[in-house]
Amino acid sequence: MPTSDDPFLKPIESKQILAVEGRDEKNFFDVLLEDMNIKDCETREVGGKDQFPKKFPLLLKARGFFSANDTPLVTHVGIIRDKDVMKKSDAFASIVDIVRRVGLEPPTAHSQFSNGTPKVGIFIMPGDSIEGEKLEDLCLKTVENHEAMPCVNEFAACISALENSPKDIPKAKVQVFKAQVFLAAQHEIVNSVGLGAKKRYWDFNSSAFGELKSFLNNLK
Amino acid sequence: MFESIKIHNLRAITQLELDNLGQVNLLVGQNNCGKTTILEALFFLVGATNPDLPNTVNRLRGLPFLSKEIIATLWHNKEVIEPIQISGVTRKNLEHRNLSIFPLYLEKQETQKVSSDFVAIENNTADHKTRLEPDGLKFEYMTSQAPHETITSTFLLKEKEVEIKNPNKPVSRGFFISPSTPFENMKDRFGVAQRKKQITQLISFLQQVDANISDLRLNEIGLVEADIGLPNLLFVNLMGGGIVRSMVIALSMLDARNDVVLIDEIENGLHYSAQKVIWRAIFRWAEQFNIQVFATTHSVEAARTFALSAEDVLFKAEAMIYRIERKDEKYRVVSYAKEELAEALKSGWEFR
Repeated sequence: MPTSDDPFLKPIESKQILAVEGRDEKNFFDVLLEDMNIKDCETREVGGKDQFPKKFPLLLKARGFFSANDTPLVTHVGIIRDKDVMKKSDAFASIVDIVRRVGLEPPTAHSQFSNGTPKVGIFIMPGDSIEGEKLEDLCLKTVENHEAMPCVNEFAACISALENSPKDIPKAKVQVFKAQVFLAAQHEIVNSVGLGAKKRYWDFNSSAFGELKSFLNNLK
Repeated sequence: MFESIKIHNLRAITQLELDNLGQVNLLVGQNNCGKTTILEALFFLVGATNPDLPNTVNRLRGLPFLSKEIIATLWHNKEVIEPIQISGVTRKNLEHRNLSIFPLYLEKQETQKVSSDFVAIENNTADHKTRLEPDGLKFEYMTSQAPHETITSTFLLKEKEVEIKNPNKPVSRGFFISPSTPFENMKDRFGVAQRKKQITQLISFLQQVDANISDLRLNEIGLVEADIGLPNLLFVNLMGGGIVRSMVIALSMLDARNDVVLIDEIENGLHYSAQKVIWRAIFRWAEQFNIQVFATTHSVEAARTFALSAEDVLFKAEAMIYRIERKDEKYRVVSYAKEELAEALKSGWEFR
């Protein structure tokens, strides 16, 4: 695999790639992959879920994805995005479309990898087994029995119920708010789930991570 | 202006095609991947009827003279078997331009009694396939606009024979700027700029690189001198590689009209701030004078300023970057539009 001396430009050097939304997701998955002892995989952030159509084709152009004889050096590409307000099937279909447009073979189902070259897998957060729309839902699920969680839930409910709330918390952002409050309650405060992962504030041994870990195991 | 170019059998390149060429194009890639050879191929194609071309191209590579061995280096792996072929399709009219370069040999004619007689023969038979070092070259150039009018020129080491048929066929000019020959034609190029009354424009451009330059003059021995506020004028050659490089690029761009400018290792000798000045000027002049530009670089700064400058000057035409990848005999070209390059740079994804 090629290497670069430029500290700001990184060629693809691993056989497995995990494409994620943003910097926070990258931080989170770097820790999770390390925790799962998956070493030959690098995460690449595309800069937000709306950027997948523009950035995924560019990822394939980065030095190190293909060799000069047009054969892929990368064997597996995992793609992870939040479901958000979309239906899960629509979020999945949007990525399938992008994968197909760049000439790769997409998987036929969520959380699976295709048989193409490279093999492509798609995972829509927080997965089939967890209710919600985002990575935060999954993270909070792993600490649902943490003794701080009743306080977190109560605080969120209390703030939402205020007549003149200092913060408007839309329904879609309640889990993000709770995750922030949970992180604020830790010994050393961090302000994002990815940094929370670095501090091991989320329980990586939780069964809530089962489906996601099963998907990521394809990148071993 | 070319839309695409195909190269076969030239120097390091076995087979390579560049499509969707922009008006300003930057070639990147690891050492010895064929970037300079692509510039040479374009130079051959735009100057196909110029019999001095083999000399010029080799001189730009730092090879001061032509010998049989040096002529053979035009061929891939010096295997002078198949002709070198360079073809391009122009944007306007989608005209196909094809150049084939054949080896020529000076053979002692066995049937003739006069031993000093030699004739040039083409290497077109099987028993010549093992020959490695031709004595000359034959250029055959034709276009789809006039498919029956082949322009032929020959170049022989023994005596420079120039035979051009159908010489009126117009071929655009190529300006090749090499890092190894910065002073080549400086006098002539400055003279042209003087005649075209472009010296004020040149000074104004160079002041962005060195604010002290207030005047430029060609002296009686053909050297360009600059007024930088000292008691005496200073030879530009002594002002550092960056100034000379900037001046050579500017003089070429100012002279070109509907032509092709080829700049090898554009970052050579230039501070990053000067690179910005040069790229902005290149984009402006390319648009103003309808010039197609091809440059090579290894520098991230050059690529970054390429992308930013195209945006800064609101360059409307296509600015493309091509990464040339080579593995053994195989070539792969990865292209980025300027917007894609900006995204790759933002993401920190290696594009070179």
